[in-house]
Amino acid sequence: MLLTLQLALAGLAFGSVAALSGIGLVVTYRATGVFNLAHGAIATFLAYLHWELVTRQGVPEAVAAPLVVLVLAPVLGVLGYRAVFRPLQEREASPAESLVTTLGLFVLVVGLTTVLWGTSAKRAPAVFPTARLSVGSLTVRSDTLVQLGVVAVVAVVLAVLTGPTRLGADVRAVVDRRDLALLSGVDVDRVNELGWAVGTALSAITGLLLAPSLSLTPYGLTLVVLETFAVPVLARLSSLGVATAAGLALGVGQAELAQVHVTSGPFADLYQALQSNLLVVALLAGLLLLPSLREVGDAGTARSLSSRRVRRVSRRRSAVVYGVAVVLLASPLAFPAEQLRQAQAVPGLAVVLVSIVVLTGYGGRISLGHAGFAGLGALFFAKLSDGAPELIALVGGMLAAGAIGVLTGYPAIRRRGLFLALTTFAVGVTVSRFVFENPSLTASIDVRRPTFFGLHLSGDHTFYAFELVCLVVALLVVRNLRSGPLGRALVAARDSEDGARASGIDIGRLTLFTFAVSAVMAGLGGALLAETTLSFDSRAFDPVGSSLVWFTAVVVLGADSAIGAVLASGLFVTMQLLTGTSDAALLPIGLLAVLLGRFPGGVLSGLTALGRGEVPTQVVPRLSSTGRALVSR
Amino acid sequence: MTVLDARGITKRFGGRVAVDDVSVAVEAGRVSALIGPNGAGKTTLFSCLTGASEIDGGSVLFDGCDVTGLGADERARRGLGRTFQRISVFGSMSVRDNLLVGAEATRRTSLWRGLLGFRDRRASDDLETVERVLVLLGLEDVRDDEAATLSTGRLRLVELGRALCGRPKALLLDEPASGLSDAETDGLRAVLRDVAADGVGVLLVEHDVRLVMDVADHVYALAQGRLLSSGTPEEVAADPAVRSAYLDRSAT
Repeated sequence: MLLTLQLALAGLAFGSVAALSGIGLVVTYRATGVFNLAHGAIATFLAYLHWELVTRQGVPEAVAAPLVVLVLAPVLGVLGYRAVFRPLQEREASPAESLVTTLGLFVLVVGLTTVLWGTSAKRAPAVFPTARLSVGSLTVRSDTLVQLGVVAVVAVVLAVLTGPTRLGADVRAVVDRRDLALLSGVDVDRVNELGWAVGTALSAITGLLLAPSLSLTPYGLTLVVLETFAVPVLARLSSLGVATAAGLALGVGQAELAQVHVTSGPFADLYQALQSNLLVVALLAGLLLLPSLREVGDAGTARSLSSRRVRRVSRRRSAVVYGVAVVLLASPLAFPAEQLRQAQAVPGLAVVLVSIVVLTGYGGRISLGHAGFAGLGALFFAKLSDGAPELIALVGGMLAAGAIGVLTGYPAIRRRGLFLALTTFAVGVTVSRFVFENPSLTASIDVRRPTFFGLHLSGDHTFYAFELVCLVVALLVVRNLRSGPLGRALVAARDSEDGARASGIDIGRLTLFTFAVSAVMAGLGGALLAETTLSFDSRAFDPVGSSLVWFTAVVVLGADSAIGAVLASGLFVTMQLLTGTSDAALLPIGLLAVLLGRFPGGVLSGLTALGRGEVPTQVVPRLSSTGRALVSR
Repeated sequence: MTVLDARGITKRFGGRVAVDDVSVAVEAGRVSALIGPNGAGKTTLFSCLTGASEIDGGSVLFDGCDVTGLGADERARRGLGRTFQRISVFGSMSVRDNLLVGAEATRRTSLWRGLLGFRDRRASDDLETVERVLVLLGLEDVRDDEAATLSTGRLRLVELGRALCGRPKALLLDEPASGLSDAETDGLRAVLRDVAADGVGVLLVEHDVRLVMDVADHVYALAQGRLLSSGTPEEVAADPAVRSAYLDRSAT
């Protein structure tokens, strides 16, 4: 009993932070209609900023934390809204575009953090005094008490502000119909700026409070904050009260799991993974089980992510483009093995990225969990190739990835946009935590290259050629997906689901099919990546550093452009070779993604449009200053 | 012959009964019409017939089979074509491709065969159907235009064409004449007669009373979710209940 209480008190420390993070996400969502996927990245950035101020610049701690939380964070939030999200809202971009923009912001901020402060772990200073108080035989940390106080104050103040007040009504009006709110004299900008300011300030608190208990690294802290997505999901993105309760409960629950020890038996590993990943499980379970999860405004599909029309590229031009691509991709074959080895990651990664094109560009579905599919392909291939011929193992890996893909596809039949994105992300994190990081599954894995009807592919040149064959097959599949009855059915389902159904297209079957094809392809790419390095590295299939970054890169270059995906793969590998770190590509990708609002359809199609002399103009429904003066009282 | 037979259809939204025990039948080769004031439940009844929404009571028989539990896509493949009040064409496709989808999708094409790039054996039949329908609806001049660029009137025809390409046994049209010019409405009238003459059963929801009186063989009048009256256009128009519920009100 005493232990239970003691653990509960310890759990409240993390629980209160999770609650604050969740409240921040809910507030921003309710005030702006944007679910900020960059919440964790911003929290990490601000935690680093705080560390920089205190440790390097010698700013007193009593000044630094309030400065970051109450001044710098809100200012950054407002600036971010003005520079990035206001243009999107003014041209009434779809929720899917907003979502990708927050993803771009995430990539940009993580990139900025690594550029400014590197990736080595830092020791972050504590924000609140950490004295230990004794109550009877219980020990309470003073900072936990202060944190709980902060949660209470924040929750109550925000609940009052967004409740039955004038401001609360304005907030709901702006989120429901921005244009009508504008016409009825609501100061739309003020509501949005407030939402972003409060959200960013809360992400700052989250980062500052979490950093001391973890070591401060760009991805580590970010992922912990991303896991707190469980809180807003359980609160169905609306109730601040539920968010507070859910955050605290998850914190306590996580701590209580430490009471029970399962050290042997088949589920020991699973239980140990659960002990540190309760939030991930809660996120996935909440997304799969909670009924009536509905987005505010229009439920967005990814339709708007791909270019607006089915482009009729002239046969000659596409032949030229593919010809150049083939020459570039094949040229490493002329190099000696040492240089060739550095290019071996390109076709494998390209196959994975093309699989994202299949799902997002053609299927119209967002997937933030593709590293999970790719990793499963790699892992199953590696495991199976111990006993079976490598080629059979390869097929086995692809099928394993495909199976998880189909399971992920089921919720996608009914869900779109944000909740599907979160579901795929949750699947990716779950697979990573429970499978890839499970030592009994991934320890001492021996990866071999396949033998193909007696032809050994262990040589670097023959293996690279094999990779190219796989890429060509993937590209042929993509070509078949955009032509013939199948291609038309996919575009039809993307353009109008009602119309497609009325024409006899089985949307559910088509969705599962697209997920299956995409996941099988991702599994193939993942297996190729593992064969490239001759190892299975869970970090190569990270749910944050890989899934989110890959998806953003694909969308930036044009979600329905397979050649763009191949290009992206080349860029990733080249940047890594030039700078020695895979984070070098983050800044440009993030920047381009944030600017996606100005290049609907991706950079490539934007550039081709500019090349043809078409300036992408958007009719912006916006009141002139006179109009604004007329409608506001 | 009755091609679509709906009996005792009931649909509730929460506590509100939107459609209350309504029975309608669509005869092959004849045009039936569903009329009623705004909020009478016409479009709701329509979605119940096409399978777009599930029903809380009653049954739908199509072509002699009970299709009550089947989804909209399955009913479409069995030959129940429809158009929408809110136009739902495939905006980024050409007019021809829109119609081609209508012709292809009524067969359950094998997705995996498509993935592997096998040709569809009946592709030439489909193209023939599409060309015939393009001519029938006078859409030849825009066959290669992107659908999103067309006017409302043309889009209604594209939607109708898409449904026709599926070789429907019954055709359900939700306000096909709204947004059409007088000339286009005349054209539509002729097309509806042609289609019915081919043996297709047509059911339309329509506000244009003149069009209904002109082409319908049989009229159902709906008000507040209930069937008020049914019969020939003349009988329904003369029914005092209908006059008070609908015709008079629409005159004001």
